[in-house]
Amino acid sequence: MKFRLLNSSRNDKLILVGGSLAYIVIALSSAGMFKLSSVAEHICLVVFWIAHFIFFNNLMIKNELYTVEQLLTYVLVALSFPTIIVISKTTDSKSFFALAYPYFSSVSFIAVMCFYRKLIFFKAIRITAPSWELFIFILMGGIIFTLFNDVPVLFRYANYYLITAFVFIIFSGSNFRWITLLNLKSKILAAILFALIGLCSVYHLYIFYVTSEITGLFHAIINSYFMLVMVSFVGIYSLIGLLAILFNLPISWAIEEKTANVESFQEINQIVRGNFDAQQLFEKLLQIGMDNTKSFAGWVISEKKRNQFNFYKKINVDDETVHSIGGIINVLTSASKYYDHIYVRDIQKDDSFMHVDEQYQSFVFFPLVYNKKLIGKLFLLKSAANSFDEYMIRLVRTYIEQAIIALEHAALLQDTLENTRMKEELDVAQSIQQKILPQLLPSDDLLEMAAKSFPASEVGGDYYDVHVISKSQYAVVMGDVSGKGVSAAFHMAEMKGIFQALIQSNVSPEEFIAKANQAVIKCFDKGIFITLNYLLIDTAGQTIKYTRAGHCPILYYDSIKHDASYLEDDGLGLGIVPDELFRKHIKVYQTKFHKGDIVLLYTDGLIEARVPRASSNPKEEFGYGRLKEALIKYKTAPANEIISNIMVDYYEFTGRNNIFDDTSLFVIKFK
Amino acid sequence: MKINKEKGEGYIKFNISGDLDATESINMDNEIKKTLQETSSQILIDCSNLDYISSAGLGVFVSNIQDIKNQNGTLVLYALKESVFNTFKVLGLDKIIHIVKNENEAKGLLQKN
Repeated sequence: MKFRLLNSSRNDKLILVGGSLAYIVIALSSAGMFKLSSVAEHICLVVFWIAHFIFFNNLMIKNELYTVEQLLTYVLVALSFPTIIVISKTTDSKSFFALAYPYFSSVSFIAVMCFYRKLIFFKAIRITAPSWELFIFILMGGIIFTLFNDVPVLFRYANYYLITAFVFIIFSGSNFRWITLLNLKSKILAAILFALIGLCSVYHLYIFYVTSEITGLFHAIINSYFMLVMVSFVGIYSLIGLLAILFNLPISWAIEEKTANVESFQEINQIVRGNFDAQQLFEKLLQIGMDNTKSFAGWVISEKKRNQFNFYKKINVDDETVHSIGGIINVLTSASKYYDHIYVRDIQKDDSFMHVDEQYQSFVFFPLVYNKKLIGKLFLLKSAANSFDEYMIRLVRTYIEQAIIALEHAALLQDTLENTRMKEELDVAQSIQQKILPQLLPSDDLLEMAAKSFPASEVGGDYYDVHVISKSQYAVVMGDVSGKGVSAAFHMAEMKGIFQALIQSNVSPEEFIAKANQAVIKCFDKGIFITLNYLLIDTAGQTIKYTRAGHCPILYYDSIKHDASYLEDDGLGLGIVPDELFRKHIKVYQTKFHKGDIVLLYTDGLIEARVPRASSNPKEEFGYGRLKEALIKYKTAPANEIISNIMVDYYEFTGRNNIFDDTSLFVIKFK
Repeated sequence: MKINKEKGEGYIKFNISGDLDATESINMDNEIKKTLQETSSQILIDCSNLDYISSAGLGVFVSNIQDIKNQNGTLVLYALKESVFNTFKVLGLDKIIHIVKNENEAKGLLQKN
C-alpha cells in the first residue's frame, strides 16, 4: 500500500493545509477556545470542504488512484466516529469525537466521491463529463444553504434543490461499465467494499436525523445540504453498484473460465516461443489439464527413447498407481497405431484396474502425439466416478493440440534457421569454387577460348583449366569427378592441386594422365573416379595432341569439311585400375587444325540432360546429336556466345530453368 | 529403383531396374559387398530394365571390380540398353568389366572361369 499524498503537487498540498487549518479554526471555536461569528464559522467550513474536494479531485484525476485498501480505511474511519457517538449517547458537542467526527466524515465521503468519479469516467461517453460537472455544480450549490443559513426564505426552495440533486445523482452516477473488467476475486472484494460504503452512507443519513440533540459544529455539518447530497450520492452509487456486481457474478464464472482458457493457451505458446523446453511444456500440460478439469491428481510421462529426454512428473499419486494404470494403458496403446484419449468412468468397477487405490475413481488418459509418434502420456484422475465430462476432455485435447502445434512451429523454425545457415555456407563454398576455375582464359591472334561451369547445386564436381606452356603452346584440361554436390566439390578442389602440379612439371600427355591416375588412386576413395580430356595445343605447328581418360569425346568442328564429329577414341577413366593396367589403356592422338576449326569440351551433364517427367518421352536425353547440330548452328559466333547459345538450347530442351547435373563447356576457336 | 537378388547355381544374379543414381548406388554397393562376403563372387547383373546410370552408379562397379578380381570372381553385366552401355563405354569400363548381350553369354563367361 502506497500513500500517494507526498506525490501531490505543491499547490494541492497548500490547499490541503489551508482546508485543514480552516477546520481547526472552527473546531477550536466550537470547543470554546475563542468565539468566531457564525458567518465566519460557516465560511471556514465551506473553505474546508472545497479545499478537500479540490485536493482529492486533483489527486484522482492525476491517476494517483487510491488503492482499495485506502478506500476501506476511509470507510472504516467514517464508520467508527459516529458509532462511538451513538454508543456513548453523548450530547456534549465539545467532546473530542463530536469535534473530530465532522472532519473525518467529510473527508471520507469527499475522498470516496472522488474515487467514484474515476469509476464513472471509466470508458466515458460524451454525456459523462457535462452531467458530472452539473452534479458537482449542484452539490456545491448546497453550500449556499450553509453560508446563508440565517436567510429563511432560501429554505423554501430546499425541496426543489434536493429533488434536482437526486435526479442528477441518479443521472450522473449510472455508469457501471468497469464491473465487466473485474475478475471474480476483484468483484467479490468490490461487492464487500460497496456494501460497506453503502451501509456507512445509510448509517450517516440515519445519524443526521437521530442525533439532532447535538448542536454546534456537529450539527452544522450533519445538517448541511452539501453533506446530505454527497452522502446520498455515495450511498446510492454504492448500493446500485453492489446490485450490479451481484447480477454480474453468474456471468463472471463463464468469463473467468474463458479468460483462463485464453491465458492457458498463451502460457503454452510462451513456453515454446522462448527457449524451448519439452519438459516445461509437459509440466504445463499437466498443470493446465488438472486446473481445467478440477482433477486432484495426475501425471505426465514422456515416451522412453534412446538419447532422448526422459521426463516424469506426478501430482498426488504414488508410483504404484502410476505403474498399474500406466501398464494397462501401455498395452492398449501399443496394440494400435491410432492414438485417442481413453476415459475410464469408474476405476473401481473396472476389472482391469483391480489394484488401484480407492481414492481414485475415474481417470482420463490423453496421448501426446507429435509427427504421428507417441511422445508422451498425460493422465488426470478424480476422486469421484463419472466426473469428467465431454467438455473437459475436449478442452484438454485442445490444449494438447495447441501444445503440439507450438512444438511443430518450434521445430520448423529450428529447421529454417539451420537451412538458412547451410545455404549461407554453401554460397560461400560456391564463390570459393568459382575461383578455383580460371577466371581469365588466354586469347591471341590465333585462337580464342571461352568456358563456363553450371553446377546442379551450389557446388559441383566439374573442373577445367588452362596452362600456357609457351607463347604457342597451351595445355587444356576438362574433367569431371564422379558424384555431385559437396563431396564432388571437395574432390574437384583436390583434382586442381594434382593437375596444377603435373602441368607445371611439363610432362608428356601420356605421363600426365598416368601420373594423374596414380594420384587419384592414392588420394581418393575406391569408387570415386575422374574422367578428363587433356589437350596440348601448338599454334605454331597447328597441331593438337589429345588424350581421353574416360571423358565425353571431344566435339570437333572441321571448317574444311563444314561438319562436326566426335573424336571417339579409346581411353579409361582415372582411379579405376592400378598404374600398370592403366598404362596399357593410354592412347594419345594427334590431329592438325585449320583456321575456323572449333574444339568443344563439355561434361556429361550436358548430354544426359533429360526432359521433364511429364512429357511424352521423359527418358529422352539432350544427347550427342543435338549438341553436334548446335555447334554447327553456332559455328560463326564468338567462343563465349557459342556457349551461351548452346545453353539456351539446353534450357529449351529441358523446359526448366535449373540444371540436371553439373554441366561445363569449354570452347576453343582457331582464328 | 528396385534391386532383385536371385540365387543361381554357383552364382548370384541381380536384376536392377529404374535409375541407378547417387542415392541408389549406396544400396547397390551394400548388396554387392554383402554378396561378396557371404555367398559368391560370381555375379551376374541383368541390366535390361536399367534406364539410367549416374557416375556414382558407375562408381559401384569401379569400387568392387578389384575385390572381385582378388577373389577370383567374375562380374558380368548383360542386356544393357544402348544409352547405359554408352555410359560404360565412354568411361572405358567396357574393357575392364564383362559386358555381354544376354544371359546365356553371361553364363558362358562364368563357366569358363
